[in-house]
Amino acid sequence: MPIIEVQNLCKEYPGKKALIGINFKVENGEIFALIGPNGAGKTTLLRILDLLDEPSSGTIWFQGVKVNYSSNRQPIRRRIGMVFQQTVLFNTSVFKNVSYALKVRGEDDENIEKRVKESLKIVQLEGFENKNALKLSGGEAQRVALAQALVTEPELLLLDEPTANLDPRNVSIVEEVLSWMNQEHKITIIMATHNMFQAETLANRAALLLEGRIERIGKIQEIFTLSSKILTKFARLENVLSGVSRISEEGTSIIDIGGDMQIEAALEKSGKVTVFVRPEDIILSRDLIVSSARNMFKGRIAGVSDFGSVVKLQIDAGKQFVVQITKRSFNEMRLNVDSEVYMAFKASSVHMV
Amino acid sequence: MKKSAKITLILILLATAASVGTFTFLNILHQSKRTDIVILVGKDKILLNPYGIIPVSPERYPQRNFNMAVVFIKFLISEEGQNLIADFKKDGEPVFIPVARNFTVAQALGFPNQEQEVEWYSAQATSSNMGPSQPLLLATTTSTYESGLLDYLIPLFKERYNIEVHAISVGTGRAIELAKRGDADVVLVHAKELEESFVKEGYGVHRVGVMYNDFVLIGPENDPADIRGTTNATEAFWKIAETGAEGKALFISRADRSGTHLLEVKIWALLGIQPSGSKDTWYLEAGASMATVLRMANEKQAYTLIDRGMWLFKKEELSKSVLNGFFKAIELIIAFNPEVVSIMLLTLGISGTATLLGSVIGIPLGTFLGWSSFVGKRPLINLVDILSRSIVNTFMGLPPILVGLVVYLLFSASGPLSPFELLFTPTAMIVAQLFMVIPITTGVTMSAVGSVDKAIREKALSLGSTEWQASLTVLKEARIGMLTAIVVAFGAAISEVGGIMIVGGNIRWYTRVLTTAILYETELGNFGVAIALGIILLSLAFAVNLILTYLQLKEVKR
Repeated sequence: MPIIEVQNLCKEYPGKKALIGINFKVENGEIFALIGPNGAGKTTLLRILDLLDEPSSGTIWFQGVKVNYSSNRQPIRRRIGMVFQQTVLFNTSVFKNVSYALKVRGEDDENIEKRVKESLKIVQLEGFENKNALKLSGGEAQRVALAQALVTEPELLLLDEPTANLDPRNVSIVEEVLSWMNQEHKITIIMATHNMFQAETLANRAALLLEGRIERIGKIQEIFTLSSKILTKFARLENVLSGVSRISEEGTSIIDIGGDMQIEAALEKSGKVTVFVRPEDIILSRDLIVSSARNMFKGRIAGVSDFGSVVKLQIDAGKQFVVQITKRSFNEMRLNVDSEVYMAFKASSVHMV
Repeated sequence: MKKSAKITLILILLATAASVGTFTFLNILHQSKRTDIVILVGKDKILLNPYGIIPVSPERYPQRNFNMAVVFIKFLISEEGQNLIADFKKDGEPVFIPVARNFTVAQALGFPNQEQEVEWYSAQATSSNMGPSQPLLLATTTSTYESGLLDYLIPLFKERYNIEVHAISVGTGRAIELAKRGDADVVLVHAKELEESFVKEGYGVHRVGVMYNDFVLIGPENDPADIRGTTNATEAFWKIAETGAEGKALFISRADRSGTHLLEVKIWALLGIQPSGSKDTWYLEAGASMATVLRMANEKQAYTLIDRGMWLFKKEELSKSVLNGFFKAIELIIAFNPEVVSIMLLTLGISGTATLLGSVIGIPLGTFLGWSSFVGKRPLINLVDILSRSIVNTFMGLPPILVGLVVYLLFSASGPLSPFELLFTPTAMIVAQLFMVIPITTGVTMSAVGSVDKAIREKALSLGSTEWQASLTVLKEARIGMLTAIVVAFGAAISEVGGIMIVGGNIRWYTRVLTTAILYETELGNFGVAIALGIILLSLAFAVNLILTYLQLKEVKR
């Protein structure tokens, strides 16, 4: 029996069809990813699955029980946990935030104490009990939100872009917690994401959502091989470059990406290709350096985004690049908007889409 | 530990800044003093200043305490009372001359039926078992009160008859107006014509003369109008007008419909002139108390009319620096002067009660109104929402004096709520402050509830709460805003003066609070005392705010 089954689900807002004819099943113990660009309907679907919003038509079955919005809405919701994309915490201590779900279920204090402690340990926030929740960093706050949802040991955990806007350290903590909860506690997870790699590493199956419809559904590898063109349009890929490739004498590919720029890639593919370079794989220096990196470009910093421990820089090198470096390097190199820099990355850091 | 050290440091800095500021201010005042203003003209018959007393007619206002008023008047015009008035002296000079039993003089001063009236009062029985249910409300002029005469007579009267007297000291015009509306039991004033019409129109009965003193014309030592030694005040006024027109002299008028002002106008009328501040540059219409006008005359080296009692009491203060008054007041505070303590306690009691009640009413009301942003956006609710918000916001800006007037008219003996008999009581002051506090607590709570993130409710629901639990969670999120509402409301209540002055009457030991005392002392010209009281007010407000802010910060941390 699937944990959740959705039949012919539609959601209409005045003048807009947000979800059209959604059908899918998620089995107990699965990690199911909803992927799709912004506005595809991922959040709308998750809110309906959390029974916060009612669909315009269609049926939802939870563990074989049909959801009825006037009778069993709240009891079913109590078996589901949800982590919103926008972290919302109550203006009180971390302890009271995490214990909230147990308090409203009327659990006794001793049990609450024990389980809050466990949950905080899982999200690696031991000792944070008495801190004010609104004074935490973004990553810590999102982990508290995760602990809030986990503390009741829900059968189903819904996650809406759980790692968007988090720095890498917090991303890896959250991802670890999710796979651990799934493996050890058999919690079923449905997560919306537009981070392909996350979906790839965590999920068993995925649905590709486009403009309110499920475009494709199936095993994660199938989705990726069959829909790579669609995926690249929205997936959180940066430094996506297209061009014509020729095989060099050393057996690598030289890709002409236009604007007098050529990229060397450790690939053997000729013809029209689309490749990408992860922002964290690009090395930045103030001066031209001699290194083993096959690709070296001069550019100018066009923009800076701060993500806590890391910063992302927009580099204008004829083409636009995004480079991720640590805050510490950023400060030590005394970089700023308009600074001239050199980017270097290895041929093996260039991946095919 | 670190935090408390920081707070202590800030406190010390604030206190230092406050003291430095105050002393600088006082020193500036001190340097500007001039003391060469003197009596130039007196002893003219027209300057005689008789005080009459009239009980409010029992037929007109049966609810007023006529019997008590009669007992009080009987006491004042008795041989004993008249002797007490004669004994009230300043620097060996009597301030008022008793006249009740001197029928010839009384008649000459405008009390034609003095003998019959005294006989009538003597014939009234003095029952000893009438107190101490209700206090006697005496509406009187500032001169009788501010000279200290009433503070001297009232305790003696109370000792004898066990009757509490609440003296409301306002200008003669307003004292009679209060009595006309039935808001006083008896009036003691000095304006013959007003008194006579008060009786003729049936508001008062048995008008009788009590005492008199005289007005004097004071002015600068160098006397540009050359009036020194004149015994004819009318002539002196003429000379002032003439010299003034040449730009060499100034006259300051009370211009407040007080007895003093009425006499001044009468003298100008005798001369056939009607000076006005708008066309005569030598004539200044102050619209202020006698003490203030005296200070103005001294500063501007101008002529003015003043009653001898006030002159006796106030002249030496002109030569004293404001600092003396300030230090004297500080001494009183440090010594826990019982009156200062009672004023402080009353202030806290009234403003505290108003804030408490205002919060009990305003916070649920504000929650209810602010809640509409959480329910659906139906057009009707939107309209109600807009209307209620606009109304609350308008009332938040209500001028206190207007509130005072409305509450006064409601509780006045001629008003719809007169049966409650609340006028000139602390309760009336609380009611007036409530009118100001409720819109504040409502408005601030409303916006606090309204500004809670809507996602909070969904988050609560998502975590498994019932609708009811989710609503409670939203309210909890607004709790800091609610505490702010209380802080703001208390600040408004404790600093408010216009409203409570009108409905409370600034009765000593009963409705005198810090703000009304400050206003009163300022009008008396006791700037030092006023500032000292101001410092107490600030300290009280600070102490209460310290507690509330501490609670607030604790809430934030939780």
